[in-house]
Amino acid sequence: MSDEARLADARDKLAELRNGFKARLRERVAELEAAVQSASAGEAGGVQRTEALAHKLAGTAGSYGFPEVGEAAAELEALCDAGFDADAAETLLDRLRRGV
Amino acid sequence: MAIRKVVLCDDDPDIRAIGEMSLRDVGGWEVFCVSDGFSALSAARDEQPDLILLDIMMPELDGPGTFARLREDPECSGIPVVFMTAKAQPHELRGYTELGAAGVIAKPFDPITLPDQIRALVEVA
Repeated sequence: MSDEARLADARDKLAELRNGFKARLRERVAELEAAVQSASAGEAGGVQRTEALAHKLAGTAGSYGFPEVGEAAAELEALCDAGFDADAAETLLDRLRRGV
Repeated sequence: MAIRKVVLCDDDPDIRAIGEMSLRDVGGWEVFCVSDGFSALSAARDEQPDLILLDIMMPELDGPGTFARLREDPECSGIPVVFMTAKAQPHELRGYTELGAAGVIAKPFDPITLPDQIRALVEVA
C-alpha cells in the first residue's frame, strides 16, 4: 500500500473513531457535570473527581477533533488545582457543552 | 534505530483506540495496548518493543513509577520510553527527560502526525 493510500485509509478509520467518540462524549460530559455539581455542593471528593475527569477529557477530546471541549476541560482541571470556584466552573461547563 | 514494535500504555480506552489506530495505520508499526503500568512491565518483557509510550497519570502504578521499574529491569532498561501527558508544564517536561525518557508528547495529539513526532524523538539517523 502506498503512503497516500495508507493515509487515506487512516483518515477513514479516524472518522469512524471520531463518530464513536462523539456518541460517548455526551456521557463523559454528563459525568463531569455531576462531579462539578458535587464539588459546588462542597461534597467530599467532588473537586478531586472533577479534576480527574477534566484531566482525561482534556487529553482525549482534542485528539478526536473537539479542541474547544479539550481546552475548556484543561481550564477546568487548572481551576480545580488553583482553587475551585463554582461560578467559574459553570462558565467552563457551558463552553465545554457548546463544543460537543 | 527504526521503530517496528510499540507498547502503548494509557488507562483511557479512547486514547488507546486512537493511539493504536495512529501508530498502526499511520506509523505502520505493530502495536500492543495495555491499560496500566503493571501490564506495561509485562508487555515490555514479553514483547521487547522498540518503544514504550507511557501515560503519566494512571491509578496504582503511574507513568514515572512504571518507568523507574523498567529502568531497574535488565531485560527492559534499554527500551526507549516516551511519556504522554495532558498536563505539560515546561519544568515537568524537563524533569521527565532528565530522568532518562526519550521525550514527552503532549495530549491532545494529532493522530495523523503522532508517528512523525515520535520518530523525531526516538529515531537517530
